[in-house]
Amino acid sequence: MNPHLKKWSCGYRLRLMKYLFLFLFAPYLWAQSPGNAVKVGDSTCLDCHEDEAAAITPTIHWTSPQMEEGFICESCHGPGSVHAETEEATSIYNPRTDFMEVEGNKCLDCHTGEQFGSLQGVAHYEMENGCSSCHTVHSTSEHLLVKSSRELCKDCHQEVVGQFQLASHHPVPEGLMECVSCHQVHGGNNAFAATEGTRELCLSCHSSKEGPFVFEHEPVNEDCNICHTPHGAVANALLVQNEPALCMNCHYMHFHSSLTGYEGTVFSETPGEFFEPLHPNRTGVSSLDAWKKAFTTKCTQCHQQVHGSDLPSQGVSSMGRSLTR
Amino acid sequence: MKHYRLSFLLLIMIILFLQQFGYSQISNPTTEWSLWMGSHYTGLQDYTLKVAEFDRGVEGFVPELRLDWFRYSKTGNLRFKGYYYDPKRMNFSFAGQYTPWVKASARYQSFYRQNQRDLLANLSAREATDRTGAQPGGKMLTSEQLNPEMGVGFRRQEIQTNLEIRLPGMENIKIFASHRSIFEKGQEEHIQIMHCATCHLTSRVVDLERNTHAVTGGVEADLGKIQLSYKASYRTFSSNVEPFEAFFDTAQHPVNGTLVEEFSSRNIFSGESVPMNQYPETQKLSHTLKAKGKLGKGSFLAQFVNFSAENTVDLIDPNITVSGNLKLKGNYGNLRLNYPLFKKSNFVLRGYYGRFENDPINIDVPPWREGRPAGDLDIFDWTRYSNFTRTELKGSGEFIYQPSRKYRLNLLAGIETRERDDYPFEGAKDKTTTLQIKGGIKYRPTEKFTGRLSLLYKNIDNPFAPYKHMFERPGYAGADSLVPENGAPAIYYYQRDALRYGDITSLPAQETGVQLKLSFMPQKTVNFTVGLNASMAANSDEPELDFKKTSLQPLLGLNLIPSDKFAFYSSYSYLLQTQNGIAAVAMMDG
Amino acid sequence: MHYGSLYTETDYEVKSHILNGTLSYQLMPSVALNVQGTFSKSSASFDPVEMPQTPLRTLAEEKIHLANYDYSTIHSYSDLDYQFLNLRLGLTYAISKIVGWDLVIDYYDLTDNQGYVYGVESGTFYVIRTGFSIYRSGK
Repeated sequence: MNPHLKKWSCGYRLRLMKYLFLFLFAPYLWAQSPGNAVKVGDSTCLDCHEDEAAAITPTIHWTSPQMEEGFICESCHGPGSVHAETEEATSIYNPRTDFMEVEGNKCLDCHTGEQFGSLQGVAHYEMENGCSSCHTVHSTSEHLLVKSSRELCKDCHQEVVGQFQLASHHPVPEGLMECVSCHQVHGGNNAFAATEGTRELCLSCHSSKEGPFVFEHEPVNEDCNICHTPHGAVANALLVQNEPALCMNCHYMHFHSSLTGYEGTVFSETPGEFFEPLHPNRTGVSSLDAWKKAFTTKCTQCHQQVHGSDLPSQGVSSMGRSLTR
Repeated sequence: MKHYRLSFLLLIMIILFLQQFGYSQISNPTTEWSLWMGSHYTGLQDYTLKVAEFDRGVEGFVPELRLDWFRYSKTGNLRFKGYYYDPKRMNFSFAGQYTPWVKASARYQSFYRQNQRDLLANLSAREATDRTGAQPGGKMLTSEQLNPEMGVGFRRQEIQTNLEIRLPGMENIKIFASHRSIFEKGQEEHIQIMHCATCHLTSRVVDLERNTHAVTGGVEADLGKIQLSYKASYRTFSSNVEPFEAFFDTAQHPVNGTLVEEFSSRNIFSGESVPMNQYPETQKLSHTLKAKGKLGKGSFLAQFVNFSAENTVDLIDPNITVSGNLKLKGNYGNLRLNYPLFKKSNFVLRGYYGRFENDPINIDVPPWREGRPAGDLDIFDWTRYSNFTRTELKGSGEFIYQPSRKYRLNLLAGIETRERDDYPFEGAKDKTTTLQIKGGIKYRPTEKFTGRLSLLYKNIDNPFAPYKHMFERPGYAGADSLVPENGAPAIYYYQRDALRYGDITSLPAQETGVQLKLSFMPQKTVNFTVGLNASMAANSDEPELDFKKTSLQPLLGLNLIPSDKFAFYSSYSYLLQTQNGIAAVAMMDG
Repeated sequence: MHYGSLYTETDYEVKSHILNGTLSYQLMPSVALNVQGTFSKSSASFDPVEMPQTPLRTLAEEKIHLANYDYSTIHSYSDLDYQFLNLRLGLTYAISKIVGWDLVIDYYDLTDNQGYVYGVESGTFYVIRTGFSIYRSGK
């Protein structure tokens, strides 16, 4: 094809016309860009946005004395003269749809308190609609949430919701705790957006386990998550495994578990056969594997004080460390 | 009881303050309220201590009431929420704000938790003297529930109050104070085990009354580019229940009831009553300094915490002597820097340093076999060093890049070290080092599809392991032979400690993880989600255990909202966790 | 006498199926129906512990009076197997703009197929709740 002809093709001419148009009308377009808008006042906004007016006037964002009197809408949406003239959605800032920048958003211009941590880099902050993913500004709901906090978290964290359906769980499904009881959703310094580091967070409610104790159990100092899983577990007490399997990860089985059991009653039926004083009501039934059942079913039947104790256990040879008392 | 009164008094004062101050100061208010009045019937069948764990477990009708009251105006707002479910489950909260100057809230919550009773059914055994179990022997194990008819459980009550004040002319300064009390009162099960003669376990139902109180106060200042805050917290824990006294049978030979002196000399106590079920009393004081601000285009968040916690209970067991303070101390600090290296990007640098100390204490236990051959060995007096005494360091850098609404990428690399000064022995400096790499991508080409994928890899050098080791070498022959000490008549149980080996741990040395979530919304009425959380961990550092741990949780979700009248939400997830571990037993006579 | 230790590996496994569903239907302008259901089937168990037949084990079983190192049944003492069903049926009737009536039935059923030291924990718990609600707003 003749290159000269190509230069003057239809597409080329259209593009040229577009640049010419932009050049001629540049001053007008510049004036119409949201960045050059000026404030028009709430009454202008509410003339058109009747529904929003009804929704926002009862809210803290409308009633807060920190907002500029008469220009409350524009406190969040920015100056609205261009939008009032063009009536185009793109000509005004909308926190719900315009949130995308990693750099920040307008909500944080006012919400600077400590509880907002340092949001940049926090996954919750960088969701599709930023703060509006969870909050609705034009509402009187508590904390301006779009749903109750329990329902809201469920939408994205379905796998955690599943863990709360297991037989042992913190009472979140019962409505006695909320996700925010442990999680600081606005970020901070801790893993999993926890309000505190693991140990401090758990001990803020379970303070009887803090110690320091005379007789310690080392994993308690190390990390609660070695033995427990916080959302839900099949085993009792949110244990990652049921006893004795959990204990056997670190401890050998009691050597008495290797005894052969007698098939019969525990108490001697022949007076004087064995020493007294076995109390008459200390009796029971024994079986071939009775010693194994006793020593390899639940270790904390005897070693109850697994989080630590100030009282020594009975044997000198274990130096009082068996956590039975 | 004193604590109860104080906390309830505080709650009532806050409520009165809010009611009087808030109500009278809110001018030209609008009020919204909703009230629900009704009742409920609770029915229970069969065993309900588990299925109704967080219920008080009583059948019958109970009136129920719920009130949500909200009053607001240009000058402030006040909200009351109250829910009475039954005499043991209820919650009430007040929250109010008057202009920017005063903000206060108070909350009370109560519920009951039922616990199961251990039937002790597995704790009944008698030794046999032949392999088939036909001939009875002398060793016996018995158990007994002393209060079989009694239930166990406790009522948990929590009171929390918060107050924030700004002073006129000093709007940038906020003074805050808060209080939190947790009361747990009820009954719990306590099992006593008697050893060395009659192996008899007894289960008692004993009173439980645990109280936690925390008060916090501080100040937060907004200095423009930087915000600073200081917070002091004081927390106490105490048990208001006196330990009960339990009698332990006189130690003697388990088969023929002889050798009382010998067996008693191997025990810290026997043939006497000793206190049981003692809780510590702890007091914890912490100071927190936080700073947050702008750094050019970026921002920073810094925190420094100092704390000390002390167990102040007087040891009430006269059989041992403990010298030293039961005291924890710690200092830790975090720093987090965000800086956009270029447009649409963010670089997050995190640093952490922590130093924690648990004072060593000396524990004197009675001499081993006092007055017997090879007795009076002093090795049974010992110093308790703690693995809580340690130094922790963490650092990571994360790069986040979001070139458009369609993509978000992040890549994190980090290192953590934890060095335990005196674990597993004094001066051991046991150190765990973790290296971590994490990457993720979010892809959202249109509103109809969102995909998220993140990958994690961790390498953990020298993970935490139990100090006593898992295995024992044979003690009857070879270089490790056990011999009776100082003319003792036998080899004793404690001597096996010298034969232990094997730093086995079920904590991983390598870990990889995948998280995937895909959401499709072909129409506004249909939403479909597919997800997968998976992790694989392994530790093959020790020849005895090729440790592997896997976790797999696929997820399916389907939401249908075909019309304003009909909505259907559903999800299915499958959780599979596998882990291998050691089952070990010592082969010995005893 | 002391013959060292005997050990083997065993696998621990947790398996759970968890199903959730919620259905909301506006039967009439003033009547709404809500049905929620959760079902989970979970098990946690470890494999039989098969101790190796080593020369030391043989010796120990000969020398130690009545020692028995067959641990192949111990896993069965602590296996867990639960089925949990929770159903909620809710009916709301808006009598007027400010007054409503509702009925909620919660049904919880736990089936324990294994039992542990607490015995078999199978049981049912239900709550039937009904009441009136009033909503007001104004100066």
